[in-house]
Amino acid sequence: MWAAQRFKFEKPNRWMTSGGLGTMGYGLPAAVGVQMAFPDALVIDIAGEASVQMTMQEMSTAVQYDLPIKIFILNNQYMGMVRQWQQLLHGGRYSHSYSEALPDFVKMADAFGCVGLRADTPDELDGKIGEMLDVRRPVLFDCRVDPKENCYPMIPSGAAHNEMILCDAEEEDTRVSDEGKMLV
Amino acid sequence: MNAPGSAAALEKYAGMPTQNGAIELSGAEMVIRALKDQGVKHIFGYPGGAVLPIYDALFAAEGIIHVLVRHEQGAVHAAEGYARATGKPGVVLVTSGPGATNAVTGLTDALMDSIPLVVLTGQVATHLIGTDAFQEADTVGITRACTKHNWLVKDVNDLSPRDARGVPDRDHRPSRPGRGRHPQGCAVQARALRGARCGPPPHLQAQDRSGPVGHREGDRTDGRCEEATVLHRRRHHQFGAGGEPAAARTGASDRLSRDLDPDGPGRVPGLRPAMAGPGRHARHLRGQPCDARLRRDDLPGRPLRRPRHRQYREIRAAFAEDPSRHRRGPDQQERPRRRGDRRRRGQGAERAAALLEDPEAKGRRAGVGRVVEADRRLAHQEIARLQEFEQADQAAACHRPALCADARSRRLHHHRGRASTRCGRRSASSSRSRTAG
Repeated sequence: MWAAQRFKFEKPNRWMTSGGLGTMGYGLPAAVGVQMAFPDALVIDIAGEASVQMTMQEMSTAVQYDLPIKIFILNNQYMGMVRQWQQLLHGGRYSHSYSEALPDFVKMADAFGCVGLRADTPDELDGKIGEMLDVRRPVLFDCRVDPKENCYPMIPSGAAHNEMILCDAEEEDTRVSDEGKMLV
Repeated sequence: MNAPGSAAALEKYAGMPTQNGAIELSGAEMVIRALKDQGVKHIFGYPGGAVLPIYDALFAAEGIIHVLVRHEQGAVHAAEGYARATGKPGVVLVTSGPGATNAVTGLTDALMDSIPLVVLTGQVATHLIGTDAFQEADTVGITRACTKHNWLVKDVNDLSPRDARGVPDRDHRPSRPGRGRHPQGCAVQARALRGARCGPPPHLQAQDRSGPVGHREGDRTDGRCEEATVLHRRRHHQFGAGGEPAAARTGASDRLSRDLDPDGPGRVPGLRPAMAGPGRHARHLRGQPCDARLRRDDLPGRPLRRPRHRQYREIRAAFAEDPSRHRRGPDQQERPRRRGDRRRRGQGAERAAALLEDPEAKGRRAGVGRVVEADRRLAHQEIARLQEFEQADQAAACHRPALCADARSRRLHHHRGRASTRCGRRSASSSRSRTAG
């Protein structure tokens, strides 16, 4: 969702997403397929740490076929959309959406034969991204982000477009109707 | 045994014409040859017992790059990305049982986003089907709801034409240009069949196509050959996501716009014959109404088609009364007619008349333009009727008034797909007409 709302695309067919089904783990293998079709293109998979773990074995494929895909992980240690819905729809009861144990993605990249990068602070982000783009090898980029950051704007289930949620507010429970919660 | 990759092993695949000059291929080689003939350059796959013969044929094939993934879901998603980026269908090759079930997520994903895919899966030997054999699954049954079309080939002689049908032609144009549809996903079940002898595929008979995929010597010593089926998915005529730009780029933009046009052929119920194929079965199984399945006389405002036995009873009664009414001829016009009869008859008569006058008229398809205009008018009428029907439906009292009233106030009728069963009180005739369809 972050990429869908914030990333700017200038040409058609540059945005591959599991829009209909919403499959977690779609991005990494899709990036492999795109890079296979266009070996010289810059192919970036913007993923979450939860979804990338669903299909991360395909990093091995990328290494085997020398596909220099960039896996950019927005690592908030949560299933981000689930967490946001739990916050907005379920009174902040974050049931089983937090991953207490996560792999060290940099070491994991090494283990797969990829390049592993990590950015912990905003200061180092630009430099690391430049490094990621310069390397012509598969890169796993572990970008640590604020775990509580929500992705806005968001239209709650059952609401109209003019009831779009634009930012965090104090009285969160009232913004989604009971009927809307049933629709999720 | 020859060492893998040795010259002797590869020589086995060199083409050797049979007596009538045709090249004899195993089923596996037919699969690979068909894919190559359709211009497939990349396959994403994962080998397994049931597809080992295909991988064997792939071993010597040139011009096709196989990408070994680590999980079948990854193969299908990679093929989706490939299809989105190139506009060509993505081709996947996985084994039977777990290989097929692992591909289901990707198939569903592709169906939802209108991504053209061809997925080939293995299947256990024919005589073992239904015996809970090792790595057996009811692949066709499982994928019925998540493919445009799927099938199981049980006879190697059926393999080649079907396989070719599953993949768009060499330039990856829509296989049925007239309809503006392009294959969305296909799956081939290929399985080893023991004891069968492989003949040349029909499209290779009596012609020598040079190519690296050759033949297995006439009577295969191992007695194995391949069977396969192709699953062929129908494109959703909705707001397609990934498939649309691909279609546009491959020169289908005009057809695409016709498809997206509510007046376009193939979109309006009644304009075309009811859709056939597993897609409608899947919709039916999911309990969702499928507008394209509505026949003319199922539409609201139309008289119900009477059950066949009642028709016969009435016909018999009328015949007893006046036998002359039911002879072929002008008298027949007195029977209850369905909308479209006159148009069809008129069309045929006009063509026949044109042919009588001018035998060359057949080539010009006389009268087509007029018929298309009539179709368009008819479509507008049907759309208007459907809209009236939906408005009446929404205004009707509901079994769940609270939710429905709220949804109405938001101008969102909840879950239109389920409205027929959960919401809205239809008139007796209209609800019967829905279920009768």
